Amino acid sequence: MSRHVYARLIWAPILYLALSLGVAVFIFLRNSLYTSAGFGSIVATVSASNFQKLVSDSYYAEVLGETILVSFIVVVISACLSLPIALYLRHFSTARARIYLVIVVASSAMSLVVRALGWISIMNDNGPINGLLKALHLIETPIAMIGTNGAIITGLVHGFVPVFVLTLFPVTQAIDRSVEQAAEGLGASRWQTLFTVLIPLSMPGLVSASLITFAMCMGAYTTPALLAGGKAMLFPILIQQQAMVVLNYPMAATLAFVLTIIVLGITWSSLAAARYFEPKEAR
Amino acid sequence: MSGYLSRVLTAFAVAGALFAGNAQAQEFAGKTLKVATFGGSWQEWVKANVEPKFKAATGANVEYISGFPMKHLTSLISFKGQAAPFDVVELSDDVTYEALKQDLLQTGLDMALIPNAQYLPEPWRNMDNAGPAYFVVLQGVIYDADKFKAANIDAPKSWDDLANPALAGHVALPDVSFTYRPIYAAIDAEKTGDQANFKGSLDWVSSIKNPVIYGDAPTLQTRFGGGEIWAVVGAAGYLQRLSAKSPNLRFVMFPGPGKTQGIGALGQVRIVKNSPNAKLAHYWINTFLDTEVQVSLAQKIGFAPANINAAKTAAQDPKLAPLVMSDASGLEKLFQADWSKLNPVLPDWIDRWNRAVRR
Amino acid sequence: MKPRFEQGYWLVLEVVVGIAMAFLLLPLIFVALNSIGPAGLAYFPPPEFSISSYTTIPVKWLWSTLAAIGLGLSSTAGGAVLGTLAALALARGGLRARGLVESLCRSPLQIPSLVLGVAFLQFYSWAALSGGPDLRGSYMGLAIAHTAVATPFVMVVVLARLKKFDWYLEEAAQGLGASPMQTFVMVTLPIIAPAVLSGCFFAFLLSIDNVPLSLFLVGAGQPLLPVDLFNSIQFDLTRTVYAVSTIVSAITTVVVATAFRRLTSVFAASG
Repeated sequence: MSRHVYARLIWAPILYLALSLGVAVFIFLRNSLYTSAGFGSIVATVSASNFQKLVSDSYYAEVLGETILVSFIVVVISACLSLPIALYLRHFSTARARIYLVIVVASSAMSLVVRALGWISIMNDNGPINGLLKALHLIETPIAMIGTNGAIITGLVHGFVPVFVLTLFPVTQAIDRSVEQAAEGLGASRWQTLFTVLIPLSMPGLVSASLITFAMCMGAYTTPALLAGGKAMLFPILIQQQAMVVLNYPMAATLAFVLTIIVLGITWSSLAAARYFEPKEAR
Repeated sequence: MSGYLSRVLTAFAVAGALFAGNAQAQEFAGKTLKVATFGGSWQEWVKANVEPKFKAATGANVEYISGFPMKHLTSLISFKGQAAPFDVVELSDDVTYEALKQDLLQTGLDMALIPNAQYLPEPWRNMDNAGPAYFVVLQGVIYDADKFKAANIDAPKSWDDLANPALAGHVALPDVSFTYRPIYAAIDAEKTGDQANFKGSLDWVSSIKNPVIYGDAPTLQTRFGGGEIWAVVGAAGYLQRLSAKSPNLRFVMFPGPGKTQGIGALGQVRIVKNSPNAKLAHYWINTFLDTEVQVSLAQKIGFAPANINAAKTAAQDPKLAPLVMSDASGLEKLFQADWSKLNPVLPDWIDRWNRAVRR
Repeated sequence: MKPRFEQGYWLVLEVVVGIAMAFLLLPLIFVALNSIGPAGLAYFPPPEFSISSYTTIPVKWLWSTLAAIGLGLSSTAGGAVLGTLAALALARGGLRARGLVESLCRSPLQIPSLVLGVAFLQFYSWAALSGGPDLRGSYMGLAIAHTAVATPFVMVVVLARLKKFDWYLEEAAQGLGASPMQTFVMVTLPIIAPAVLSGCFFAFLLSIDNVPLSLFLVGAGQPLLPVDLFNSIQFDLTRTVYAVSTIVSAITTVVVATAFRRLTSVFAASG
């Protein structure tokens, strides 16, 4: 099909998203310019007071910074676990590889809430991890894990590895075997092939998987809320408090607006960077 | 009133309700009452204990929508001025205050249709002209007597006893955004003389060494199951749910501001404004206040019945006696939160809590 | 020298993947362990060995699960069509405002689901108040929101695959006399099919577990698995909840395992 036919296809998703999500988000974000009169009631006089509050109080910037850091670490760890899995699935079509893929999918099929409760019972002061460390005489008193960023990162990585693998998988799978064979024919070791052929050719997949994971991580609520144990704070928890506890929709909208802008900004600049480094001869 | 007489009267009331029910069976046949309720075992209990009696009396069907009270309030706000999304809603009293303020609940109930309200202490029968309370949430401390004994710690007698360094890491506190704000209000009132002055309880919270914070029931239950928690600041109702793990749990309340001997919040069941089944909803509320239902409420769930007759029956069980309030005069000894003062400052409380507790 | 170095590669791969698998399985094993015992409050270890937590699961959980699967399938189908169209247009359409359009299509990913949940509730109330259809508490309302969220998942995966697509194949097919539609169905679609499937896969998996998006949109008496699980633990935590989660996970695993042969052949065909 020719280019202009393809160009016209964009109208279906654009119209759908604009008329459903677009309107919904507009109605919600419009609130950020209003003020709350407490528990769900809104005073519809336009002002920037919510944004002023956000900018003038460094607490919000601190929480945002921490959320970005946590999301970044989750992306890096997820990538380090997912790329080997994707490559393994590319190299092998054994029964074991098949089981691995099933595990990846099965782990993401379990409710996030229930999974987080599973993590809590694992990370308890008297749970199996502390029990193991004690049995090995590595620690005397149990390590408090719940409520740390480490616990949140663990839970989030578990949630996002399947997403990462499933995004990466089609790309690694599509890498032409002859390129790999050519590299080997030229005397490259497996490691050289990995760094000079496989990883560069997986880049589009790595970039899009990282961006999806990052965006979802920035907005993830369920896992952080449960594993924060009431002690750690991430941006979505702030939004939840405003949206679901005090029903201050203007403030919730302002926070959501800021989060969305930050994620959009990071996604945009990453995409631009990826396009810049992309091999030019691709087409 | 003697126990015998009260039982006879209860029997009459039940018979009366059943008789009235037969007459109503035609009127409500084929109708469905939509009830917004808490979920989990509570909903199972409602289904097993309230629903059959209600069906027998009215012949109507029941449909549930489960969720926490604030979620129900969110729904009500989004449906304001239109057909009600559900007919009856179970609320905590802080949320009831807001729902009434925003004119989301039916007022001016026909109390003749809720005869069981007569077993409630007078102030609870028709609160704000919007209906009765249906249970009392007594709030205080649940502690594991075995663990306290093993660590050679005395039973707690005041809030400050929980700051004992020997309890470091073993005290569970409710998150301020969770439903037990009356506890913090009582501590504020005791320490500063003003229940809305959060400094009192925030200082107290920071005096607790490395507390476990819980913002929902399953987290508390899972962490309690791990054995690290020895004392829980919260509602008496948890005793039932936690004692499956530790048999020797005790519930205590501390003397508070004024002459109060403990803290009480009220569970409330309300009719939604513009409900097409408002009359049917009256029968639902009446069934909920039925003495037999309310006794089961104490026995199965561990909540304090609002129905004093039921509370008296339940209190005959020594295990349940500390969890119920079997004397209407006990009402005056309960500290009750003033939501007109506390709700407006909640955003500020959450903000300060975030900075103090969530690092 | 070299062989040992080579073996090191495979060893590292095996070990890292092994660790990753153990990590993925760990909480699942604990959830499964927690589900064993008599029905009732979930404490570990259970007082006695029993599987009555499984045999006493109320039938309502079946309806919740089926409802979640139905919603997941319908929104994934919608998302697959919209997402694939968006990816094709972005990759091949030579759009002028490509960056802007791409981030617009991605935007459902960037807004936290719980914000979307409240936003859709406010949207539907506004629509109902303005005389439009009342989508609150309806599967239609849920499906519209879930489809919007499913779209970028499919789009992103397909787009990544299309970056490495050889467009001369299309021109060749058309040069041989195929119509544009034939070209798309016979040439383009089979090649991007694995990516579409992969995108669908996790659009579906995320839809059937999206609590924040659905929480405010379900109505009275309307079953939906993730919301019912979430609401049922607000009061207490029973082994039934763990048992239901374990079963849903197990069924998904079985479905995936059986579908796998079919899927690998599709992947192989495109490789």
